Amino acid sequence: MAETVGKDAWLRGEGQDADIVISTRVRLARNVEGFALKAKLAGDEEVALLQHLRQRIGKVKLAEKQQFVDLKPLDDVERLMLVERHLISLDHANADSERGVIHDDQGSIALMLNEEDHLRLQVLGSGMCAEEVFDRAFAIEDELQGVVEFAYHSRYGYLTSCPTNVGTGMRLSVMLHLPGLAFTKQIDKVFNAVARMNLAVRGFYGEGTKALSDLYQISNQVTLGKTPEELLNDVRGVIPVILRWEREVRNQVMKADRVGLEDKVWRALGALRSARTMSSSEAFEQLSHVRLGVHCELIPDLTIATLNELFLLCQPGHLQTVVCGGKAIEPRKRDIVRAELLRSRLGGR
Amino acid sequence: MNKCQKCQKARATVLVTDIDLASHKPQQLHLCEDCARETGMAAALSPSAAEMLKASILSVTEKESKARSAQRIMCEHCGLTYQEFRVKGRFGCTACYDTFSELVEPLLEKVHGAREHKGEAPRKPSNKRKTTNVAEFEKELVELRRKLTRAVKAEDYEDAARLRDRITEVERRIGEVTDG
Repeated sequence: MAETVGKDAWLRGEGQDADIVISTRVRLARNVEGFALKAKLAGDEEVALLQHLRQRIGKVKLAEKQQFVDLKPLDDVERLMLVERHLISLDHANADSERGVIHDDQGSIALMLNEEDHLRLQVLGSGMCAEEVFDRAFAIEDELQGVVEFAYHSRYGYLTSCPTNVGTGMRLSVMLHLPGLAFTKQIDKVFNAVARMNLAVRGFYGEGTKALSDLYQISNQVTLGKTPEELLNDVRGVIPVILRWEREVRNQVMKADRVGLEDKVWRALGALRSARTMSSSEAFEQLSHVRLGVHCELIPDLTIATLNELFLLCQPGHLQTVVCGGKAIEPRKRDIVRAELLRSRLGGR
Repeated sequence: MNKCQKCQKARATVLVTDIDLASHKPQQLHLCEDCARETGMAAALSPSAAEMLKASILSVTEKESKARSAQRIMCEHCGLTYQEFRVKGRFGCTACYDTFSELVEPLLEKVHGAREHKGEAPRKPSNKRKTTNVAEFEKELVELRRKLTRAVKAEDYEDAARLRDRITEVERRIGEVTDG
């Protein structure tokens, strides 16, 4: 696992509008006809379903390289790694059932098996790439329809465990880094605009999680009553508006208080290069400021790819796997190790 | 002369029996015509006031008892009750959507602002019979695997071996149908 760390395609910091858009993701929820839904799926049926999906999906070539990971035998740290790579959800990691994930070596495609729905198909890309991930997800879904019969209702569409996902079963999310709007306390503007469009703002790891270091996920709220293309356009429509605001604010701040902004980003870099202990939340906050500094061309010699990689490595799963060789360590020790890692990667002492 | 219990001025000519929503208990009010009309009891002023009133009370209690009995509806396919769904927010099987459709649609309306799917239906495999066969095979497989688990647990290896062969056979046939 260690050799692929930090190499997932969505971390490259490439793609359209990558100064603000971290990644774009589409997720399709599907269930298999003939099996009970998760809430009433007995233990042996779970095993049968997992086998069924593995066998069937194994016939479909999703990418150059693809692998199945059985989540049950993994330890907590290993599962956390997959969560941090966005290959599985937190719920999928913490569940107790027979479950797994099929993913490609680029970290772009992930098929969660036996999640809240039998199948959660996800395609993830770097920067703003809504159309690309959308097309890819539906192309894969089309292939899968050749081997699996999905539960479909003529009135309600694709049936899901929770009626909040029924219909298209599609959730398109765009992860945005909005330090300018957060810094100038105008983030409410985004929330209001998004709510008016019937879209949702979520935290870093999806539903119910907190916004972490100025990262916000914008996604479609409804899944029923609109075609996938209409949902795609809803999300795609609001993003340029938010990007314009964020850029305007960044320019304004640069003009009005360049020294203030420089002070903030260099202090952040100073902390990352000097601190002896650093919690993950502080690391994320400082990395967020530095990222803004790189985009405003205030800090030379640092790339977004490096910051993205550090962002990933600072998270508990990666930190314990990569830096500590997979050994679980207590939080205080983690903070020391994290500070060491940041100092060495960012040229500190 | 009874004075209207609302305005305390005009003569009360209408007796209104209403169900108090909080306590579910009937309460009686002596009102004048104007106040009765204002409180939405206009229907009670028509000649068949008593009957209308009775009907409206009945419809309220009927609605309530309907809602209460809906809570007790159980999906005959998976055994999920509506009460359970209310707690977990998750359905137990795909048939639940039909079982609870009357209760689910207002919910869908609230969440999605729509009650019906819009978009392409899944691509239908060319031969309908094949899919029926596959679906039947799949169900058989689940049942066979369940029996196999039980047989292994009971250390009935003869039965287990027979079941294993049958599973292989069914899987081979599914493979034939889907590949062909």
